[in-house]
Amino acid sequence: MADLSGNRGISKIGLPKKGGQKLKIIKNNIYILRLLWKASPSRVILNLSIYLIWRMNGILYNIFLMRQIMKAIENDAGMTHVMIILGLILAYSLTASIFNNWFNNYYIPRSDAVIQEYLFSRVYQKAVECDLACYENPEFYDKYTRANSELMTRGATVLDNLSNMAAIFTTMLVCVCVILRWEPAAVPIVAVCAVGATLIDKKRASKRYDAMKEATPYVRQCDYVKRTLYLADYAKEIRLGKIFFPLLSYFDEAVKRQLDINHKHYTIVGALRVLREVFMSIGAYLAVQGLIVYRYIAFRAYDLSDVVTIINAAGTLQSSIYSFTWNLSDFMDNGLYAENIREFLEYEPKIKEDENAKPVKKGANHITLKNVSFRYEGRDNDILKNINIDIPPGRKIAFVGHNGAGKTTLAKLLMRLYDVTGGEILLDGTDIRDYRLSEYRKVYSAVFQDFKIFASTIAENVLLHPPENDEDRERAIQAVKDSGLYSRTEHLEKGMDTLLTKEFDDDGIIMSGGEFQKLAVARVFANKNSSVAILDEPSSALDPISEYEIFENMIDACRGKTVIFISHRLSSAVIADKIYMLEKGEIIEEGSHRELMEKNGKYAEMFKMQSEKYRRDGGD
Amino acid sequence: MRRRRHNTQRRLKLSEIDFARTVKNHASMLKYMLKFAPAAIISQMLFCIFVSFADTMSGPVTLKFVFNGLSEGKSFPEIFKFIILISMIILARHAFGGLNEYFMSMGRVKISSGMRRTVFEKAKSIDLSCYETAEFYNDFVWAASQADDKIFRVMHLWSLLFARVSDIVFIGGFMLINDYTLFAFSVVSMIVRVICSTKIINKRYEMEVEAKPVLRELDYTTRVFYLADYAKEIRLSDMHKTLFKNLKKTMTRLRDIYMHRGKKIALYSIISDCIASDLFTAATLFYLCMRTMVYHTMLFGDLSALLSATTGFSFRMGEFINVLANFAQESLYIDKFMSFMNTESKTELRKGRIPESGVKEIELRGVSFKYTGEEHCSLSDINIKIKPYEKIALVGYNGAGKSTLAKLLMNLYDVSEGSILVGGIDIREFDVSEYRKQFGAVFQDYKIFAGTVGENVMMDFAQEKDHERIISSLHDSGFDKIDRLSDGVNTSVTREFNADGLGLSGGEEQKIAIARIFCKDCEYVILDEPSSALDPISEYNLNQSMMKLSENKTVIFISHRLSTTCMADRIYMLEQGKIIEQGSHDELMSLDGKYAEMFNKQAEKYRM
Repeated sequence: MADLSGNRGISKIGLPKKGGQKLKIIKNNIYILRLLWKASPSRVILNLSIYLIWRMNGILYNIFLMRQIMKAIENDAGMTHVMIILGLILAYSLTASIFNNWFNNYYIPRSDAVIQEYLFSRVYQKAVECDLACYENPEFYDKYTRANSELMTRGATVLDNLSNMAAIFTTMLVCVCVILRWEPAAVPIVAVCAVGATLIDKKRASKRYDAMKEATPYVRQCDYVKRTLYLADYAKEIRLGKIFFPLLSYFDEAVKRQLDINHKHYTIVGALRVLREVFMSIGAYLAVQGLIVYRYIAFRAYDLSDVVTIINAAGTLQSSIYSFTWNLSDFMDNGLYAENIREFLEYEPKIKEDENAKPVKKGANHITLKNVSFRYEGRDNDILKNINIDIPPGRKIAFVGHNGAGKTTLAKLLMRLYDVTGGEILLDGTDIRDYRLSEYRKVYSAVFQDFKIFASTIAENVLLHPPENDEDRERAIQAVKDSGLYSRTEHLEKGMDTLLTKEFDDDGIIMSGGEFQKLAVARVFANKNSSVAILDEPSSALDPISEYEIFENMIDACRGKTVIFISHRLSSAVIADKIYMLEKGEIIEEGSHRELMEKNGKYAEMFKMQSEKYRRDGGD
Repeated sequence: MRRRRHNTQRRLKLSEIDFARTVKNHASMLKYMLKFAPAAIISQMLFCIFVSFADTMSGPVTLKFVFNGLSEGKSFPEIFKFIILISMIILARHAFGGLNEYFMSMGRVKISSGMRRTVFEKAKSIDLSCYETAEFYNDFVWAASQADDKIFRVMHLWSLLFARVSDIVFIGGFMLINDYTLFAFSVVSMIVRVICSTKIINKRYEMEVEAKPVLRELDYTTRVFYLADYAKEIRLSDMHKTLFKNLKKTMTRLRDIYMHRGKKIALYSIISDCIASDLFTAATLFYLCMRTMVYHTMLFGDLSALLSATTGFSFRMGEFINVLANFAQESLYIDKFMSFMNTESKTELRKGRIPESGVKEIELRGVSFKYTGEEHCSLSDINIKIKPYEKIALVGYNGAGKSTLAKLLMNLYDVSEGSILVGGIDIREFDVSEYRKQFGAVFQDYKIFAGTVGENVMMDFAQEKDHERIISSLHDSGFDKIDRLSDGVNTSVTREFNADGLGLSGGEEQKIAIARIFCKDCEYVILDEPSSALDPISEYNLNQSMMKLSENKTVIFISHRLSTTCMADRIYMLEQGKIIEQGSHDELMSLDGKYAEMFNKQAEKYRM
């Protein structure tokens, strides 16, 4: 009944075309099996045996018991002998049922949790280690998301598939032996037909794969239209214009293409299925049954009990061949899917932790950039060129410039989220690549433009770890005060222990974008270990008054620390000791606000333009 | 804030099943399927019936005929003819299968696109206010977005139902013809199965209820680790250690739940299998052996065929109850989908007067607005009069109600109280789509659609005659790149539909969004923080050209950057949904109220 869905046996993501890929599929399956073995060896063994026990149950009833019954009838031997055998088989199958149900309902869910925990830990550990650049590489990221979404089920699927194949294979062997014992001629007939059917199956699968591959761009287009027309983000614009109709016509076109493609390929797929069954029903079924019946009637080549045995064995063999083909296509799928998990886990990050590298000096640090340039992987030109900056401890530095000038990239290079592609960054005179990564990154605390709030308490969100003592709590509260959020948190029933977001608890609170931004800024204020604070557009979602307050407080809260902030609102740059103006990846002007204004260059021009409206009131 | 729940559906307890509703829901889904792909659905259902017939023929019927024939000493041609017949039935079953595979490959596309189209049309006509209610969005829009997948699940259930019912008819029929007693036997075994299944389904329900919050935590941890958004923060802090600890805790809890609940489930399935399967098979065999060997009222072929039929029958009946339970389960989903389809819209489909052309006076009289399901009004008692060609600024903190007010003006929502008059006529009297034609808007979160440049500017099909207008609007908004594109207005943007599509920078996208207002022959322009993503120079240039090009239009702009707003004729300062100050920039500055305070703070740094 497995072909009811009409879709069974399709290799869902593709079919190996070359020999090399076949090998890869086998390797990937073995890789997953090895992972599972490490996670839980007992699961692997039990899984294998349960399928075997289950399949054997069928052989005992269908082939062995039926033979004994027929024999007893033939010899008119009475029931005693048969009943003893039946009793034994019953005992076996009762044991198998108990074992099987215990395994499926009690053992598996628990064991799945163990395996998942192991796999999750492995993958996430890797995710934390892998280079940030990977996240920006769509191909790699795609692999990762797919590996991740597969994790919950793929391990168990691989194991079930392999166990099932092993059990079916054993069954097939038993059947072949039984048939060979009485009617060797039937085996080559079945073998030829099975090979023929398998070859046609391969052809069918590749046709299906072609159809799917050809349709992929159109499926993607339909998905895009779906996304656009459902999502609330687009709802306003769709209601104000008539863009709905062009989009719908794109959709209809893409559907039509898919239908054409399916029509082209599936007429052949359907025809091949009929051809395949000519092998199976005429070859394997008609020929074998005919042969056995003929040999019995015409030559009495064997007893009737033997006929029963062979026919039942041939039937079991035939259905095993079907199941084996299905499992084989699952095997291929698993191999291809597992590729994502494997590649991800075997990825070697470029920027990695080295236990033996140099420790970082505690306290104030001196940062120097020498001729730094940087290019994103796969891009044609450098996003940063020949950057030279010297930042003595405790300075307040501003990076300003237009969008895309390279300000944020520069900040990421400092934190070693990427490695420079030219030149070097020195911390206290040592190349930052020579330090231990985890220690080096502790030098910094940062607010990013696209900061994220975690689903945990306010205190944990500020400290980025659970508060361990009263001192931690105090520090978190002070930071929240400095960032101007205290008026919001002090009235909360659970105060700093209030859960944020509704992920875990429907009573969790959601704050406005501005409030969340203040919370993110508080992280920098609360970080006592860092000597450098980086604020990347920390006030973009804030209204002017909050922005003003945050900048005022920052001076106090970050006393003694080096502060680097990035902004395209120049009003905030004024307080910096030194301003670097970037344009197209290069520093075009540097100096204090006063110096740059006197220079009357690009910075001054930008500043004047921005302040024009405010100046009208002539505050000075 | 919208939160997409990973699984809004819960498992159903058997006692909660509403039969009438379940039948009605599934029938309406079947109707959809039949509407979009009648051939595929009919083929699929007939195929299910035929498979069941063919399996009965090649199973029990063949066993009986062949083994009995051999025992009775039938001639070879007699038996061989029968085998040919059966092999033809098997061949026909698969030929039908091949045909069905073709029909289904077409049917799948037709059904999925048909469902999507149905939902598109509906989504478009649902009031924006519903769409922006978190509850509605999480539940019903989510349900609708799943419809194209879920309908196949429903189809699968219908197929299973057809298959199981046919099995019962064919195999059951075979048994009734051959041996009444065994039929009764099977019914007993079936009852044991049903009782155990019921218990198991309810236990599973309890298990899932208990596991759900734990799975939610797991889901969250998963997301944090794989979303690129979190990657930077995780690398710079020890947050991942906390997350790993949570993961371990979550998994341990999950394991405990499964162990605790799994015991009972395992027990019931053991009882079910041992009694209804193993002991039942043994008892059947005992009975059949008695008839064959002791009483000699039966031949081996009968024994073999009846054994196969009885075990098959009892197994299928056990499945049948699961199919029914799944039907009830899916019905919960269909409920949500139907609620989406039956949502009534008040605003979107409204027909009425066609507004006269020309810029009119806009008046808001005592306007209040409350989002569905919220306790407080987002806007209360707003009174504003906007003369033709005036330039109006709405200022205030985040969440003061500025954007909501703009949406009310465009009739994206209806006011909850009071009224909005344009040229003295309540806007609710107008035909909603005609009314909206008078407005051009750039939103804070403007979107670029996959399609051509022209379509993105027109927000409609871009016809040959419109090209000139489109190009000139693009020039006005500063998108000069248009002159360098070889396909001009017909260039595709984004790579969604065209691999060579144009990739646009944020600034360029914004320019296209702004060109929309220039291109649209509109009377009123609404700018909701259109310059937020721009650097100061671009912002300045944009403001200049916007003012120049909108001389003969009424312009309403929203900003919290006061440098932008002070060029307005009138400024309205909003706080907590109310207008607290109004007047020109100079008036408000001399009033020395909240506006002046805000302005001064913002300006302070520039005054050094």
